[in-house]
Amino acid sequence: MNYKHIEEKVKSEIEVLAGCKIADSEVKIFKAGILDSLNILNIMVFIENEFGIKIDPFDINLDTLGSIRKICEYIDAKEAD
Amino acid sequence: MSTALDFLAKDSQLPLISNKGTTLTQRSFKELVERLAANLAKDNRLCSGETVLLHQDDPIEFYALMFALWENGNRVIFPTSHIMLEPSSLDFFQFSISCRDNETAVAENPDFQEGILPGYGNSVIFSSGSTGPPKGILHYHHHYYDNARAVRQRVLEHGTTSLIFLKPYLVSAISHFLVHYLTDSHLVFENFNEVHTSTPLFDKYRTMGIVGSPIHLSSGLQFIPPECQPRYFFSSGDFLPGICTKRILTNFPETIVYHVYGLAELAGRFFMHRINLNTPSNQYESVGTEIEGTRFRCTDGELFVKADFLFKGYIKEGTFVAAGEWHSTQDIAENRPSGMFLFGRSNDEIKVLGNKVSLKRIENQIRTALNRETAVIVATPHPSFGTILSLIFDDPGDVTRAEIISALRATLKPHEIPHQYLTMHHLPFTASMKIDRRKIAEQIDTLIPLP
Repeated sequence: MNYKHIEEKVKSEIEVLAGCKIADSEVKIFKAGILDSLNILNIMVFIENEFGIKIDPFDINLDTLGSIRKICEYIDAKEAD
Repeated sequence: MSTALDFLAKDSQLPLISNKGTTLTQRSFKELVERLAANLAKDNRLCSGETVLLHQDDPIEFYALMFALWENGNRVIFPTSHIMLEPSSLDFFQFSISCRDNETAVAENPDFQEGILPGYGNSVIFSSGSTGPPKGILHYHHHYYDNARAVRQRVLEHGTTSLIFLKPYLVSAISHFLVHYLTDSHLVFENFNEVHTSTPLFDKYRTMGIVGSPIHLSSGLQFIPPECQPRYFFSSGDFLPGICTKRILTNFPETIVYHVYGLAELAGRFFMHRINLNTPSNQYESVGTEIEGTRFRCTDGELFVKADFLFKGYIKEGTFVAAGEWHSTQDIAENRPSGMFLFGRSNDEIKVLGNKVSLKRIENQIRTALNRETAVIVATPHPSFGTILSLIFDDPGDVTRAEIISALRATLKPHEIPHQYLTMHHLPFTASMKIDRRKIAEQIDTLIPLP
C-alpha cells in the first residue's frame, strides 16, 4: 500500500475517533487533546486489522503514534519489513 | 409447610396449560398430578425422600411430574438435557424419571454418590451457565410458591392467556406457570423456532400476551396481527432494553409491559415494574420495586437480597456451599425514587487499559445510542494489548463503523469505545435465551468486520 493511501485511511480513522477534521498531519493528536490517550488501543487494533501488521507494544507509545504522520511512518516501515 | 397439592387447591374447568394442541384445565392438571403421585407412592424405590433427576421436555408432563415428586416427598433435580454440566455435578441423584402418556419411567443412577447434598432442601435447579460453570441452586419447593404469591400481588391482570417460548424447567418459566395458576390464567407453550406458526393462536386469543426473554418479546411482536391487542408483555430472564419497551408501546398503546428482574436464588422474581404508555420513557429501564417478602440493600453499588424464600446453597463442581443470610446478586445497581436501575454485573467488569468497564452497562448504552435491540459487546484477550472490546451485530444493515463510532463517542468514555465492529448473522443463545457471549468470543476471529 502506498504512503498516500495509508495516510488517507489513518486520517479518516483518527477523524472518526476525534469527531473533527484534522488539517495538519503533524499535529500532536494526544498532546493537543484531539484524542484521549485511552484511544491509543483503538488505533493499535485499527492498524493491525486494517494493514495486517503485528504491533509489538514495546515499539510504541503516545509519542511514536503521536501524530498522523508518525502513525503512517510506523505502518510504512512495518510494511517494508 | 404446605404440600404440593395444597398449592393446587383449585378445582375449576378454566384452561391452565397448553402444549401442542393439548390443553389441561386446573382440575385436569390437578388430577394428573394426583395420578402421578399415586404411581410414585407405589414405587418402593421412591419412598423416603430420594433424590430424583427430572427429565421431561413436554411442559405439561414436566410440571405434573414436578408437583407429583414434591407431593411424594422426593427431592427433585431439574432436568439438564439442554444444559452442559460438569460430570462431577451429576452423581448426586439416585434416580432419573421421565413421563410418557402420563406413565412414569424411573431409572436408577449407577454412579450415585452420597453426601453432596445437605439434609435440607428439596429442589435443585441448575443455572444455564451463561456466566460461568452451571451451578445447582438448592431450594425448598415452597420457595417457588411463596415467590409466585408475592408476584401475584403485583400482577393486576386476571384470566388472561399468554404465549411462552421458554423451556419449562427454567426458573422464569416455573414462575410464569405458578403465577398463571394463581391468576386463573392460561399458559400456552410454543417452540421458539416455530414462532411464525403462532399467528393462528393470536387469531384465537385476541388479547394473548407474550412472556419470556426480551428476544422472545421482540421476535413475537412481528407475528401479532395488527387487529389483536395483547394485554401484556412480561419480560424475564434478561435486561429489557428501553428501546424494546418503546417499540411494544408504539405498536400496542393499550398494553402493559412488565419489566422484571428475577433470580434463580429467589425461586422467581425480585423486582417488578409495570409500564404503560403513561410511564415516562426515562423510567422504561427501571426494574421497579421489590416484591413482598424480599429485602435489599446496595453496598458499594452492589445489590444484596434477603428473603424467607432465598435459596439454601449452591452445588458447584461436586461440592455444596451453604448460602448466607444476605446474598450478593453481583449486579451493579442504583435505587432511585422511580425504582431500581441495574448497570451490569460486578463479575462482568473487565479492565481496559487499567480502567473498569462493565460489559452489560456499555452494551445497554450502545443499544440506546444506536437505537438497536441487538448489539452485543464481547471482551476478548489480545495477544499483545490485553483485553479488547468487540461490538457484534446480527444485522448491521448499511451502517458503517465510522457512523457507529461517531454515535458512540457522545455516550461512552474513551476507553469504552469498542475496538472492533463485526457481523455474526446468527447470534448464539443459551438455553434460557440469553446471548451466549462465550460462544461468540470463541468464534470472534472468524467474524466479518464492518466496512
